[in-house]
Amino acid sequence: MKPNISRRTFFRGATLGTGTVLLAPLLSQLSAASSAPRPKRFVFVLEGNGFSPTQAQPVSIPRAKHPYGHTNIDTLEDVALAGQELSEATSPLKAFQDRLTIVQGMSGRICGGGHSNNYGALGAYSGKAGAAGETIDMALARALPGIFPQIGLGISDRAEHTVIYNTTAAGPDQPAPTRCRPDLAYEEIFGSAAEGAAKEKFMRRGNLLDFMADDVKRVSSRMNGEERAKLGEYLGAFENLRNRQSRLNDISKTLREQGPVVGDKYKSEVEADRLDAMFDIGAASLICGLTNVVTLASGCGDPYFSVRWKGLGIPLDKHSIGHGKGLDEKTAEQLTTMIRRFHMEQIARLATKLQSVREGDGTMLDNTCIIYMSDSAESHHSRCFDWPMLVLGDLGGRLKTRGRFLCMPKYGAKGHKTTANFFLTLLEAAGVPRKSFGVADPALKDIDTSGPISELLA
Amino acid sequence: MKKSVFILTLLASALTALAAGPPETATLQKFLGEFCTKCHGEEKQKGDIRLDDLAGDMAKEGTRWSVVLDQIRDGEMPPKKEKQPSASQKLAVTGWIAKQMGGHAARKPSQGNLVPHELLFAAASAASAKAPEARLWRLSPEAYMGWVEDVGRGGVKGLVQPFTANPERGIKDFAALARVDEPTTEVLLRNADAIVEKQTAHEILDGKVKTKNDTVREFTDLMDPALTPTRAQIEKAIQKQFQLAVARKAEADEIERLYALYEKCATGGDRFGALRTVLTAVLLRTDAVFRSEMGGADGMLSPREAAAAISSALMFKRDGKLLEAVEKGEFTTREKIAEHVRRILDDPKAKKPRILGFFREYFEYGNATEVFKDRPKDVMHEPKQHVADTDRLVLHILEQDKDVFRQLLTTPLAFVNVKSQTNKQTRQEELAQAVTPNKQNNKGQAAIETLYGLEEWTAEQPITQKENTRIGILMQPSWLIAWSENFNNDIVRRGRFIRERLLGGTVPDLPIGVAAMVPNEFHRTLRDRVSSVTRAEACWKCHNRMDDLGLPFEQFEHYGRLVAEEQVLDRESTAANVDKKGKPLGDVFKGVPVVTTGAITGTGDAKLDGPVKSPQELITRIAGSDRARQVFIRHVIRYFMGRNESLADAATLQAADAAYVNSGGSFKELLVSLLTSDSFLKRAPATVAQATGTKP
Repeated sequence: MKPNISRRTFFRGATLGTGTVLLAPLLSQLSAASSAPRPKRFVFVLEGNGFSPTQAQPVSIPRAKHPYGHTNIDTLEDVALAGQELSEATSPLKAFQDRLTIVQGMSGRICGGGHSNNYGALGAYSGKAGAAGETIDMALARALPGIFPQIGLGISDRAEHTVIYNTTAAGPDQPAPTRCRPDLAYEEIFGSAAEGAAKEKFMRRGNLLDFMADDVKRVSSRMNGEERAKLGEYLGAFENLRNRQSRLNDISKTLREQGPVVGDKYKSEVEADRLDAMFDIGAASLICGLTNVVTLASGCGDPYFSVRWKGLGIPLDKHSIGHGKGLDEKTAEQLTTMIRRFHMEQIARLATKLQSVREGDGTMLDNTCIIYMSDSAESHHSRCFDWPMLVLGDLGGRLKTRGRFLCMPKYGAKGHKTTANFFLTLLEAAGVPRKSFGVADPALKDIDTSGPISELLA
Repeated sequence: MKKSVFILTLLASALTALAAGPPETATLQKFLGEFCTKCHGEEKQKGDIRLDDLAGDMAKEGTRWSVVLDQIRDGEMPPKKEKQPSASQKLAVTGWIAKQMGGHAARKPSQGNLVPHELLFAAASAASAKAPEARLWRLSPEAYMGWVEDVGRGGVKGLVQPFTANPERGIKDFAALARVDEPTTEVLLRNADAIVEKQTAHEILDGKVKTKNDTVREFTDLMDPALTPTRAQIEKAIQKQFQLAVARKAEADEIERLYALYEKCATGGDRFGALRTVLTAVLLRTDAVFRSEMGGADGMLSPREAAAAISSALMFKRDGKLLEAVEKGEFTTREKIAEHVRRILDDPKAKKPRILGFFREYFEYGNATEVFKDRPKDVMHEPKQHVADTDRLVLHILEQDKDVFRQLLTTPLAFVNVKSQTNKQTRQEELAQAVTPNKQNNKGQAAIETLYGLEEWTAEQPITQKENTRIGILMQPSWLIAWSENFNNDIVRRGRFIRERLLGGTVPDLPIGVAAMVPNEFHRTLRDRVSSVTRAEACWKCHNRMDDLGLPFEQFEHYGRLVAEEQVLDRESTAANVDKKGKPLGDVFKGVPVVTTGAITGTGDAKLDGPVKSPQELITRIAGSDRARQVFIRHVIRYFMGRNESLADAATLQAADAAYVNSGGSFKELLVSLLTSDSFLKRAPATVAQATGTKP
């Protein structure tokens, strides 16, 4: 008889260190809902160089004219997405149109704009201020802890970058990494399930953490009071990291079975391959229950954005494309569409994977929310009057995002919303409401920009 | 009757717990009963503050005690209309609280002024000197990068700064505030990997190890695939990494444990991987991340600790000669330490970025680059250059090393738009114009030297500015911009700067719930607009400590230009400014003469207090005061000690002040005095738990 156990219970056991007893079942065998609350997961997919409102807009829904292309309506537009024709760039998401919401007309002027808003894109603060505060992915991660609070994956425009710091921060001056080499990310996250050199490296890291915890403990035992507390924090860090390592080891069987299969693309020089591998790792991290928040950043942050999409047959760098340069017969707009479609295909693939894993009386996708946006708001040289976003998945019904097109009133108009309002909506849906997020736009002081976007909340 | 018995019992028990002597108990009881508990007692709690139940445990009650201290020290309580305590009564009570609070209060740099100034400089206080407690001090962000360069033999790619600087304004690096949490540790780990990667970088060509630049030979020698390293070779590598990371030899037990780690890691067969792990472990040692000031049995820092303390006080990298002196056993007396401090201070080649760092954190003119402003139409706005010019002025004054504090505040000299460059023909360093208007982009914006009234840039620098224009750092464009807002001067915070950093006063934090807004009535001057809100009775309680000190700087507008008039909205002309159809054509402004009067109040120094007509008068008066000089010295001590001064440092402070005054205002002599003082070199014996193991 197969054990009747939910994925959630399974991993809760595992993380408490009793997991070895429960490790027999495979995820594919998991079934039946338990009384445990439904899990919540978030995936942020960020693509560099802007996401234009035109590419976000369904072809069949007309967009009000504006000299600079900004949103130009005075009241909220709320249209069902069913039956609408998606733009060419977003059409790979057609299979998920009933779970998709396109949000237009939110601003993020406080971020300052430019080639990238860096941490500001997810932090709703100045993009030039460095990691000036907590970003939304980390805020959600705090509320939805996992073995890894959050996993940052992505690509940079240079293949040699191992880790970059560009989009995510746990707090002021606490940037969190974007892992840029799939092979190394795999070793770090799935190393316990690996064989050979990668496995050995994983074990060595465990030994090092053991050693360091012991080493710091020896010194701290000689201290008293405040100084002991200082070392206690350092010691605690090593102990936590070691604990994470052993939790990964405990579930190595699961990781081996459900983890990604390492292939050539993990060491590829080609950016499309690397991003593809990163989406695999991201999906597997969620499926294996390693984290509840994944940030996938594709060529985000200044100066990492000028990717050449050779894998898509575009040897021209994205910066030039952003400046309107075409290639052969193709215009810059067509090239951007090709690149965007690739990202949409990846999102569709991720959603399909999550949909294939049963969870409670539904699938993992039911309890997940995937957000697609650009760190550079609406354009290559963003000004952040508009920040189009795609929201796929309704987080177990907590969000009203099943097949909708929403366009907020224009910048400065009554009812206008900012990205901070959107992030507050996610926090509310995650069960950790806040009054404010990031830095308020002082130019919007005459309208109410507090709180979440009620239209998006169930 | 019942109530007073209750209070007295409580106070008595509090005081007994603190082991305070009977005379102090009596004084305190009398004082609180006479001046406080009538309004803040069991029956009546004005302002929701009750003091009759105040216990003596400073760890728990520190906040309430500090309120009492603040109110009495600043003369806010008892209220003016009530009976007032005498100066000696006040000093006795504030002295008692300050002494009891010890390290529990005032952990943040911004709270440094909480210890009453008069007490610190009272002759009696010098006798109560006590060695500060043993401590650990995490590397500062800059010192970490310096350490990386030492260990990694130059910069290391892919490294990020793991440490967070204290985000508050003012002095950044305080030992008590610098921590290492989990995200920081993850970065440290990743960085250590990157450093070891660089140290051991090699290729195997034709079966032989080919190394790259800046690798460590003791490590790469062991990367030969044909070689099975002996224990002696591994030990040699460990010793090398110890020297690089913590500048000392590893002890036998340390080697033993690291070798055990090596063996454990090598069981899988990857010896190189195992060696790398061991090398990484050394880089993560507590003594690589935290500098220790434990002190020995004699209560002094060990020679090695003292050398590291001196090195870190002045530099971001280790000073080789200090370490040599330690090795030779020559770093044991105060005289020897002083000799080395002087050597470093006098050596123009020794990089001492921490010294300029002090002035940047004390004056905070470097913040000019952080204040976002629109580019003005008529003049270039180059905050980075203004900061560089002020840096140069500070260094110039330090080079003269005479009457440094007064010079900083009142020098008529200024460097204007200067950079150093090498003359290609003579190969000599010479001064050149740093920022010039871009011929293509410039739309009639004047060069930055026009801010100083120069029509043409000159190589004759520093220039001497005309009388009644600018003097000192506080009238440099960098400072004015740093202490301004996006669109305006920042009258209040400029005043707060002067109150706290020059006069040694305190200002309470903005009360919760107060939404401080300057009205957008642009037809009025900023002085008027600010005053219209801050002079309200409830606000003025605190603003009286700031506004009048900031107002004289209305002599300058927020880009740092000297102005005779402020542009305000001309409402009538604006209303009339319409086209034929009556459509408004935009705002019209008119000039209103600036008012630069202000006042110094509440310093307790009759020579200082009084009205001023201009910023020059304000600053000149402050620059001549003993109190301001002593407050400056208090800040120097905070920065170089990485903590706030307490009464136990009174002797150090007084000696430093004397050294400064007797040397004609030499900053070097001030530093020598400070870096060889008991406060710097002594530590109270730490009562540590007994354990064997490595020495920190």
